[in-house]
Amino acid sequence: MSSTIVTSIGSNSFTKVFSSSGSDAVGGLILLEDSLESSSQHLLNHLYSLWLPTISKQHRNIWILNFSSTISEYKQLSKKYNNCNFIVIDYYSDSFGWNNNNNIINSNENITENLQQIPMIFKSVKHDSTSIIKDIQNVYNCVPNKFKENPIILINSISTLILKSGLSDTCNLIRSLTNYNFNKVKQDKEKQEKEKEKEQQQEQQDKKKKIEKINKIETGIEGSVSNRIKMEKSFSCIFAILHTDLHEYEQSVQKQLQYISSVSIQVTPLSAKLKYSESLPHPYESTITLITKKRSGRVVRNVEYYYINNVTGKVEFDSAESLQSKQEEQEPDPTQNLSFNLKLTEDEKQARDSVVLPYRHQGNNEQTLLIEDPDDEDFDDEDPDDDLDI
Amino acid sequence: MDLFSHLNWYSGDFMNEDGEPIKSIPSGKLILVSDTLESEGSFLIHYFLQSIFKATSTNNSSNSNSSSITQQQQQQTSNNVVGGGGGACLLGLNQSLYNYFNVGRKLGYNLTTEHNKGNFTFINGLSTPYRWIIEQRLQQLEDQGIDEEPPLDSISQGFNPFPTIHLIDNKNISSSSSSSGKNKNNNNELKDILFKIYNEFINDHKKRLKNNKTLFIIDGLNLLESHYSTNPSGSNMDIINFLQYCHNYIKENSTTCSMVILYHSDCDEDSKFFNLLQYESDLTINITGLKSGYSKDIDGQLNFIQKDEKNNTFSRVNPIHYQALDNSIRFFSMGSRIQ
Repeated sequence: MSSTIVTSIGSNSFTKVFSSSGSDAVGGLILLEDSLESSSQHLLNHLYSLWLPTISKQHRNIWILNFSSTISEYKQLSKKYNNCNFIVIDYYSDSFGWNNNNNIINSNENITENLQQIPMIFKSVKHDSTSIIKDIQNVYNCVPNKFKENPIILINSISTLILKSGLSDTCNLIRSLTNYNFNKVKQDKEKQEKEKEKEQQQEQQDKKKKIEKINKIETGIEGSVSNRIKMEKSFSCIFAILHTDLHEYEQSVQKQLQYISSVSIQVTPLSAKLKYSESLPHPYESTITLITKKRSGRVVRNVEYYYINNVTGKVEFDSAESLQSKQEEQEPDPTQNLSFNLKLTEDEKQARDSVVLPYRHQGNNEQTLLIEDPDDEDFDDEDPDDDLDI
Repeated sequence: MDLFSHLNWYSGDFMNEDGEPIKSIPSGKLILVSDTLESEGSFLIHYFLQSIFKATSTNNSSNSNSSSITQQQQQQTSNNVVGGGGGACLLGLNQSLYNYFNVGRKLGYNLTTEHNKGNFTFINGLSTPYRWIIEQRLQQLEDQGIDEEPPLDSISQGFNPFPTIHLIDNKNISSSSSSSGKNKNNNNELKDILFKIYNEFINDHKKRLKNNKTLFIIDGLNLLESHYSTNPSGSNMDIINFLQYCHNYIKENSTTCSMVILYHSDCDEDSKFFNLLQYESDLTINITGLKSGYSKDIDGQLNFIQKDEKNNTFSRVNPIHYQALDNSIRFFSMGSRIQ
């Protein structure tokens, strides 16, 4: 995989990352990194406004793994977009199991209750990777089919999950979810059962260790997988929110997740030059740096700024290059608006251009300047003591 | 000027007779107050207690004065006024009850009377230093064969003007050494302690009549980190789990309770836990000293980070200055202190 980083204009902007579909669609882990100073919430709200309303062109099914927000926030979110429905698997409310509702997912009565709620909320207690995968499988088994079409998994926030379960467990979870295939799980289970029967019939006395193959995890970064047989993936992508200021002393967390992600979006505060600049076209909130890893292996880096349109209340983006070109155009002409004339006529310009500057040795169009050091200039051949008359 | 008035949080709350919103601690919020060694924050705890008890007493007095008003008005004022008062449940991990009691006396409220009215509950998070005296005494009397014990003098009993809830049962510690039972050791594990606190908060809240607000105050969250925890990620994550339960509870009962947590932000080498708390809370108040040094008239500065409910975004609000006077705290916007 080549590792040249190229800056390109416009082709990998924030909007493009999320609006592409089909074979172009971004899969794998999309990492949204932010901090308290530069929060990604505006961007997240923007994505919610694209994905959640059922009438939206970019409507997607969202499955949220909730580690950081109260349930009331999701209920409000649903109300905001006309009571739209999405799935929330809640690991926030009952992390110790104090509410005596361990794994409601397994109980049939509570499932029908959950399905009538908007949004659908499933509560769970254990948050290690195997439990989460089990929960997702259980949810899959009981939700209506329209929620199974290319859902996006949103992990809010993955920082909390890392702090609670550890980085390696979280990475295992992401790998499993990226390559997860619901149907394959069914097939594998059927296979397993057949194998069990065979073994029981054949070798009843010997106890063998059974190799469990629930989901064969393909290693490798997203870009290299496509060369092999393409596995059908159930989730179109995994969108995770990482708070970098919770992992300041563990640099490996951020780097590791960036490494396995296919797109990494970093929200950072504006540089001082932009923050205090008086000539910005729009009041920018933060800087977004997008690092996209394409299937070909190329890594593309794009810098953008976003602001909130006062009129529409929507988030809009400007790329860094457009800002630079605008700044160049805006350099004021110093010869304007003066009471005296500083401009030159055409004749005067020509005359100025054709002046031969002294000390310029033209020769072969050399433009070297001879610098004369005044200290060793006074080179008198005469003896300074000549006029002494002793 | 009130502590919360510049945050525009009063717009939905109850109105008093003048049509102005009643100034009180906003409900349904988890408020984090962070302080440092240089700028101590316990004055805010006393301020909150004072404002709660003052509101309750003005409610009571206005109720008694309403005999001259017509029936309808009386109904109205009594409905509105009930929302302003309320009670407090204080988990003391920084100071002893003796300290809160004495400060209260100076600020104008009596904790014993408030407890008797049902407005105040105290959970003692520190150990009770004089329990062993009682047990030793009982032991002595048993050895001597006397069943009835004469009451201990007030110093040996410890300061206990009204019944308080003890978080840590010293009895178990002393007896676990004699009877080696694993069960008894587990009672002092962090998870169980947090469970106890959570239950006490809920019980206290349910005890109060409807429409009366309860404020949960944790004075000094740092001390909880030092308890023994079996969580592989550390005791901090246990505390975060506990706060998530509290936050959920507050959101479910958002008109009738709120929570204030005091945390010392300079105690950890890294600010990870502090950042976690900030992400969790609806409002963070950072108490700092003045950037320009010491001043006679201004004691310090309060910086606010507010979570906007509609967007879930964090925003910094303009900081305000405060001065701690003998009986009250004065808050004023920066630069507006005249004299």
